[in-house]
Amino acid sequence: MTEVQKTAATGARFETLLEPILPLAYGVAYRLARNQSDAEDLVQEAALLAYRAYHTYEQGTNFKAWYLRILTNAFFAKYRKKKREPAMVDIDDAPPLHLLFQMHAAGVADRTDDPAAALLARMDAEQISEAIGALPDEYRAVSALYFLDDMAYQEIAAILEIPIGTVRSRLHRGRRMLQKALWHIAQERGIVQDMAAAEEL
Amino acid sequence: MASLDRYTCEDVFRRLDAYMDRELNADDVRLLEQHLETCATCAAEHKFESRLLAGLKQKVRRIAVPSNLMDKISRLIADQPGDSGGAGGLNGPGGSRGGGAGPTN
Repeated sequence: MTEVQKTAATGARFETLLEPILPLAYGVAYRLARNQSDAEDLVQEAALLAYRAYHTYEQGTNFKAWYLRILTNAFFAKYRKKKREPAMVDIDDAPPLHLLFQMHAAGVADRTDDPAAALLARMDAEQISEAIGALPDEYRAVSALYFLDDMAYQEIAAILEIPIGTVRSRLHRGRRMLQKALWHIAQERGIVQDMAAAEEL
Repeated sequence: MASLDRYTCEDVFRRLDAYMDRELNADDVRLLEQHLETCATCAAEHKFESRLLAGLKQKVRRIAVPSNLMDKISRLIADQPGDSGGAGGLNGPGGSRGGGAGPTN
């Protein structure tokens, strides 16, 4: 086999591993970068970095985790410096069960058997993205991996190279922040008022 | 603190996230589920939180991957000189790659 053929074969092997995880990779990148253009750039840059480092990848090990580690590192090294958008809502102060308590207080939780589903049914993908986008970078990274792929704490810890306890605390606190952001959006866009006005939820 | 054979609402509350993430050990799961069977308040809180998580996961996973993204990556790799790769012709069988939206696994 010539050098040219070898490198072509290497590239083909790399792409065979990358293609099945591309939807996940793009999903994580989109949650991190918060827009399509930067997400595409991030996935491509990570692919290039991964390809250049492919000789260090141990065949048979977890390619998804290996590639996502490169992608998240690339994000933290570059993309997050690009945009520093102010948090949409003060999410530091996010108590547990915030959404359920707020829905009870607004009188919209008791009228349905499944208030969580009733609320989410009235929120579109963009509003959900906006709420996730309000999380600080570190919380968003943990949350993206969790929401998109049901990863165990251990796997998220390995990808982000942080202790498992940090994954746990960021994930749980991130959920509280997310609930606060969701409620903020639901109120701001009239969704809570619509639910209160609806005869049946 | 939990007694050896029973969880309080506070015990459940502190473990609810880990329970939903299947990160509790078998003994904790058993004690927590015992409590949920007998406490309507905790059961309602658990139901709300788990339905919310499930609904969010479902919505978050509906992402349309740009249809030409894999093609762009293939071209980038094909343009790489030497070392790990480089020599073009890496588009693999079938030509057009990627495409469409799809939930992740």
